[in-house]
Amino acid sequence: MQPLKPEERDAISKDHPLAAPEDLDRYEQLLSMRFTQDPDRPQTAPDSRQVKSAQESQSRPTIEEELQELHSRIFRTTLSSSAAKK
Amino acid sequence: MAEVVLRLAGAAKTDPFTICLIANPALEAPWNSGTFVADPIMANKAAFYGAVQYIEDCLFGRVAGTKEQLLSNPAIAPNVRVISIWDAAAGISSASALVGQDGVSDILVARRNAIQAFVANYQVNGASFFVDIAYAISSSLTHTRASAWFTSDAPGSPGVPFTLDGGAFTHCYYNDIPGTIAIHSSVSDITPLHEFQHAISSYTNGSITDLYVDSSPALNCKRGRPIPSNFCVYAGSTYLSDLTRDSLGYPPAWKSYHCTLIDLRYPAVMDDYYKASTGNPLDCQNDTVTREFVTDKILAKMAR
Repeated sequence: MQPLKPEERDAISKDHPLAAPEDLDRYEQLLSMRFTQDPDRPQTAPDSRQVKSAQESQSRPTIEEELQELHSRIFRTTLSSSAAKK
Repeated sequence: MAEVVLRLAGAAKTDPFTICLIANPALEAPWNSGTFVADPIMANKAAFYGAVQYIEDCLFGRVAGTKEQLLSNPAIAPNVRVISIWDAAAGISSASALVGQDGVSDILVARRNAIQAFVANYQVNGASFFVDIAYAISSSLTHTRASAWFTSDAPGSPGVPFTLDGGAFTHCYYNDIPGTIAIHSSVSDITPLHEFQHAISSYTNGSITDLYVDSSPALNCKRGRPIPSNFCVYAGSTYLSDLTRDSLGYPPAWKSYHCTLIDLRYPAVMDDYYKASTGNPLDCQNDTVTREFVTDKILAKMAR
């Protein structure tokens, strides 16, 4: 997966000032991780190597579920919408 | 009438190592939605052939200033077949949508099963052809970041055996599904090579992962602290670890670490090449085990 260009990362920070850097790092990590899993095999939890039981595995979000959540968290607030709230 | 262009003939043999570059007729927007729209690239043939030329130049180290010359190796370059496909009559359907627009990012995603089936419709010199790596080129108006799926090797395929840290693996001659890449027509820098190296790696016989995030273990990435001096033993040779990650450094929270670089001054091709200290991604080369591994994988496929 192509890395984010510096100007793209800057634009995200500018347009979404409430986005936490650690959220953006995790988001990029998950996007990259998506491509390390064979898409024609059933998707596993993000940290499947550390999963200790099937029950625990079922309770963890999939990569796509966590990506959806992070995407909402990072990109839901724009400068204009945060200004409108004030 | 489709334009199927044999750009480089490659080795004069059955199934030479083959890279295929395809104009993407349709986009699935968003990816996995079942909704298909025309890809703007089909209205801009010049953009397609411009991207094809750039990708080819990048892979063979012909872009001025490119330091990584992996495919220009004289044992490799003359034996690579390159084919491009432009088919303005392919229509808009699931079968012609070779790229999806990710719903949670601006990443283009290869629809690898569609790519494999699509390519099977075409011939060069009156014969269908086996593909090792496929690039689907899009001019999406909203999504510009490239991505790649690793190769799915054919189980039981003959090949060249190798060992990695004591485990036995094979550089397979044949794949079930080729390595696939979705890339934008505005492509620049070393992105074609970065994605190529993902794509030629394998889900089952050594994967090459991104080094700019705290990745899971792969051929070019391990996890643990403290970082040991030796990274791995591949094909009987010991490779050292990159203890410092060139000028970038390992973030304190990371557990992953990498193999030592060919040029210690710049990030690896699989790392964040936009952060090269010169600001020039073309300065970046591989780490030592990735260079050897990719070279071996290509040479193995060329030996089939």
